[in-house]
Amino acid sequence: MFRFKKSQLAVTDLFIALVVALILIILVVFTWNRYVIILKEENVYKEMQLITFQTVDLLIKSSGEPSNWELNPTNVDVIGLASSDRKISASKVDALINLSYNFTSNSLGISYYDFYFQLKHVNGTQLMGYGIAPNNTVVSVQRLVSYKNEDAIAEFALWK
Amino acid sequence: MVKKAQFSFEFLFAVGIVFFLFLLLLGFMMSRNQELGDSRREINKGNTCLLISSLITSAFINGDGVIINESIDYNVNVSEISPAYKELNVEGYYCLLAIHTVPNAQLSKGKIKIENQNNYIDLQNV
Repeated sequence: MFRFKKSQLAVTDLFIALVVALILIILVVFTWNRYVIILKEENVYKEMQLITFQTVDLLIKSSGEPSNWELNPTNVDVIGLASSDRKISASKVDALINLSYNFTSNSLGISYYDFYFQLKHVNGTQLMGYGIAPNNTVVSVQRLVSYKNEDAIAEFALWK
Repeated sequence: MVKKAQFSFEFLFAVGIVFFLFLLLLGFMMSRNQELGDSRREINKGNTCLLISSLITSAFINGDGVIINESIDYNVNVSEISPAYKELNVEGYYCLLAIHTVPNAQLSKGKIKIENQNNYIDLQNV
């Protein structure tokens, strides 16, 4: 009877150790998967940041190609809103507003995302807005520009 | 006799379980290692894609005559999907270009040159 009890004890020990080891393995698997997801999310966020900086730079520093694309907006190769560095052209802004959202999104190479572009007076009053207002993860960049001979803020938000 | 046989069976059972756990962990580690390598390659390809896209945009913004030299670790293909779509393909990783005045091109890994020629961007290996 004593010997039988001893063997039972050994098996019980083994199963306790087994359960502890399995719990640890499951914890490691869950933690690993969680970190993989966090890493992917951070990577997407960094990618969105870079694209946002790139796009807002293009919009406020370049006049586009052809440089008078606002005369025939559907034949634009590159959309740019500047008449010179950080000086926004009102006629280019008007031409942008008349372009379809999908066309602009494709042309700017950001069709994987949604965007919203606005020009605001430095006191916060909105001067123009274009795109789809964000309701999710947003990367937003604000730049100081000149619009209609006044200081203004160009804000570009990218989201998905 | 009974005691010895019982001990032997338990011992074998324990060794079997430990061995099974070891194999389980080994399989897990190998699979995660493979996944990690794949993720690293994908991230590097994505970074290359964004780098080239960003350099093309910079070359365009900074105007005629800008030359940028860079080194890349993957083959890159620039193609036009439609007049409104220019796409970079870095060995299976795709990203879109904001600049459409770029010719279709195939760049091999190594040194490349990005040049703004009158707002048209030329890409070539050097």
